[in-house]
Amino acid sequence: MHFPRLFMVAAVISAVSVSACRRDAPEPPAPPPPPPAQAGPDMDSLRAYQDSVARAQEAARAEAERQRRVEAARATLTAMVNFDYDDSSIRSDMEPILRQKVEILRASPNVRLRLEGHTDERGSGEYNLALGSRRAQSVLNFFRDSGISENRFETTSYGEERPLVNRSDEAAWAQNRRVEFAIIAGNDQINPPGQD
Amino acid sequence: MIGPRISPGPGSHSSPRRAAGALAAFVAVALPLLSLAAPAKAQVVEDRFPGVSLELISEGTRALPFAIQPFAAPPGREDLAQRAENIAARNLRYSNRFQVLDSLPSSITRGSEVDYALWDQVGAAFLLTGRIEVSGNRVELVTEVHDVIYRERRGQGRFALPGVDTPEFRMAVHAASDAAVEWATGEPGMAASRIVFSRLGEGGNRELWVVDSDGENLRRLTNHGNLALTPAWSPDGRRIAFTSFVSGLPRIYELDLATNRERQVPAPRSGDYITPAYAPDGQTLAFAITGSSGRSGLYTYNIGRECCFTTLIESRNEDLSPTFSPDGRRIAFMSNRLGVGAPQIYLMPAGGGQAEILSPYRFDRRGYYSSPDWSPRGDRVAYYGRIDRIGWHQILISEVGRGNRILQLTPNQSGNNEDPSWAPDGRHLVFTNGSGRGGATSLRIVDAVTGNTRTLVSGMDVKYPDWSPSLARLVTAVDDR
Amino acid sequence: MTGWNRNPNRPDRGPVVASVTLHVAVIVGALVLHHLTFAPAEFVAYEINIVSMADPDLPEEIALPDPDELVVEIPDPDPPAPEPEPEPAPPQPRPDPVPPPQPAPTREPPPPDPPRVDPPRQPPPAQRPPPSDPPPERPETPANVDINVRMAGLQRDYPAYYGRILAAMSACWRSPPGVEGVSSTLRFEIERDGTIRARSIEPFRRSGNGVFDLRAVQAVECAGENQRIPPLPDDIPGDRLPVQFTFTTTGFRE
Repeated sequence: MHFPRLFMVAAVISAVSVSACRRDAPEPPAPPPPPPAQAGPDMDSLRAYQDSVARAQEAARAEAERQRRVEAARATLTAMVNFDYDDSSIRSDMEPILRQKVEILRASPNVRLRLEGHTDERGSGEYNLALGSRRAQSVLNFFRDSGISENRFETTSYGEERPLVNRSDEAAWAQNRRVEFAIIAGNDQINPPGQD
Repeated sequence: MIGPRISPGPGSHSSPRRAAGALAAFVAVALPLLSLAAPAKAQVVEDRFPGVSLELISEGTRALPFAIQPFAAPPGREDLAQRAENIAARNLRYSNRFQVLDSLPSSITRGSEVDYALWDQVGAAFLLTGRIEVSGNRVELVTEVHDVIYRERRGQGRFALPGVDTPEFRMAVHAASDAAVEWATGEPGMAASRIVFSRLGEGGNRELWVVDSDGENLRRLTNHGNLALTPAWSPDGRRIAFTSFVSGLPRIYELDLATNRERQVPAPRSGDYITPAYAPDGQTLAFAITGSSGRSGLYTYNIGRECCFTTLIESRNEDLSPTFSPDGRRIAFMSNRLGVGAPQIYLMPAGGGQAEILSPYRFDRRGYYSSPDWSPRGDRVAYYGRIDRIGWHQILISEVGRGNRILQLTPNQSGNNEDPSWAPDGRHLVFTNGSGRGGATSLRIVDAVTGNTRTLVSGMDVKYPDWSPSLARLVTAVDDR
Repeated sequence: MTGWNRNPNRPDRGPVVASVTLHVAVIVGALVLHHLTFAPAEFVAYEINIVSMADPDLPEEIALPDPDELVVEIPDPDPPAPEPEPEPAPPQPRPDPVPPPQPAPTREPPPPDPPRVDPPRQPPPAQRPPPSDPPPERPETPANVDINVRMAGLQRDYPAYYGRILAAMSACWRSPPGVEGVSSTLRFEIERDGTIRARSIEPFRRSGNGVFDLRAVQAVECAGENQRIPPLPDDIPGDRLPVQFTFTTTGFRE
């Protein structure tokens, strides 16, 4: 909502990259090559065998790489976002991670998230439940304004009841003021965003 | 603690009861007297008056001396009598309305006839007598309150006593104590009541616990293994509404204390359902929904008929923690509509409508006020907060219609005092006290009239206490009077 | 921390001042009236004020930007500051001065100090013990610890005797529930023997609350019974002592 034009451009770019991504979506891993029918100095079959091993290794490497990228995407998707004291607006230093989440969400249309707002322990417990809600709503609004349907999210708030760090100092409070991201659907359908 | 009162010059006050200016001269005479810590002084006034003019000013803090005659019992049941007597004596002290005499003339024994002259001599204004009556399986406590000065009986009651080690035994004696308070003063007591609260347990979870008004009989009510928050008693004392995360999302539940069964208030739309409160009809629940697609507000649902969601107020702000006036016509609640970080207390008609601010909002002060609770007497709302941006939270009271005048019940240096809830007598409040670091560590009770404070429970992380209505009617009172 | 600001112009004083003012008004009114209806007395009037020091030393007193707007009343620490440490010890509510020491069933005259006032509050008006105050017949009512007393007397003061009248009224006073911030003034005469004849009791200034006024009459009747008020001191002239008595119940923290 701060940079609507920027978002529009981003949306176009990512739409392209998403479709590109779909085109060369990873093929299913190659079946393991059949063992050589006979052991003979058949150079052709040996070469074919070596090729198939290389292909399989290549496929496995690609698959591992893909898995690594999926895991990285999952970690990005569930990375927490922090807030200032008694504030629910998105901090500018939190926008990059949110944009990365947007990319992943675009690439993974079946993924749904629960946005869980949290606060530090200061202030009224009831008020903090509401403040946590508001933080979750802020994140939801960011996603919606980035073109992700809000139907893919639910929000809730734990207020001050679930601190990440159980201490009472500024550092702990800063970590406790956060929104957490729980994947509630499509956990096995996370696609890393397309490469540029 | 007590120092001379600094008197402003005459004329600096604008009390509505102030008399005409013609009397300023007399005020000038009287004021120096006020500022004296020394014994009162006689002051010559050049006037003539054939007699003496005296005035007795009684404050609410007046505590009449109350004696308890040792309860009588059939042979072998003296322990029962003693136990009931001890509970009653503590209740009368906790009422903060009396000065309970605890040394009695040696000529007084269990079950003596009431000797007004003797009790008058001792200095008692009121006398409580009691006797245990046993017939078959039935054990009853018969109590009377006598006005020693007027030499007449003010009331008599008969209370069924269940087994001596059951919570109901104590509750029956509490009911008898409240009757004694009422016979003596005409005002309700609060001994026969309980306080429900949210207590931190294992794994960061919170369950609802309950304790009697005298700190006895502490026990757990829920077993959700999650967060159970902001409990509220129904007006009949038989049910408790609260917020629980047991389903994963905060929803409102009602626990029936007799059957231990729970039911959930349906959630027809998304959002967090929090801070329930019963209307005086006992059927309507008001509560807040926050974070529902940017819309938040206060809503009601008729849990008796299981229908009828009604929107009281809805906006992009958060309106929370509704509490009904005892006549059911108004609601107090907290809202951040005047700015994030500075929630305030508001009043509005129970059906929704124009809200007026109750807390002492000042634009430049960023006062922070939360968790209102409307007094059962109807004329005051308690809440907590701080007047400035920093500082401990204190328990505050505003009189409805006089919001600019607030009474602070907790001393400045006493840590964070939060979540006040009125007792059914309309003068005591329970609240949490803590360091402000982490959860509160005790529940305390303060008498809004005398300022006396006691600790109800301590040594645990506690939140959101709610004081029940009088539970005396749930006790099997055999008859009244 | 020093968060709390208080209005230097604390209104909890207001009622006291107002009350004093009102009281003085009553006295003046009474003076005028008596002047017209009673035989002029050769007395010099005294006014004795025993007013509890309701207000604490506050730990923090901070100037407020606009004092007229916000008024915070900090609790009367007269009741003890909430004990810093939770102690589940047996309850001992604070305004519980030690009860009278094991009173013997026989009547023993305790020192004749007039109405008991809460310890931290103003001591009793025993400033000028009258020479001829009769030995008290009954122990002081330890009754009321928290009563403000105001007297205006004549001729010379008999603080101890007036204290007995106040103690009797205090013991007999049963404020009706829920009635606050009202006053009822009566006139009556105390006979030489300390009794009050019912027909001498007349309302002078009603409170506007019928129950309150009735309780006031009942209190005066009660005070005249059971030797609650001792006989008049010998040097009080006349057959009986005219008294104008005001019952006042303060409102919410006033």
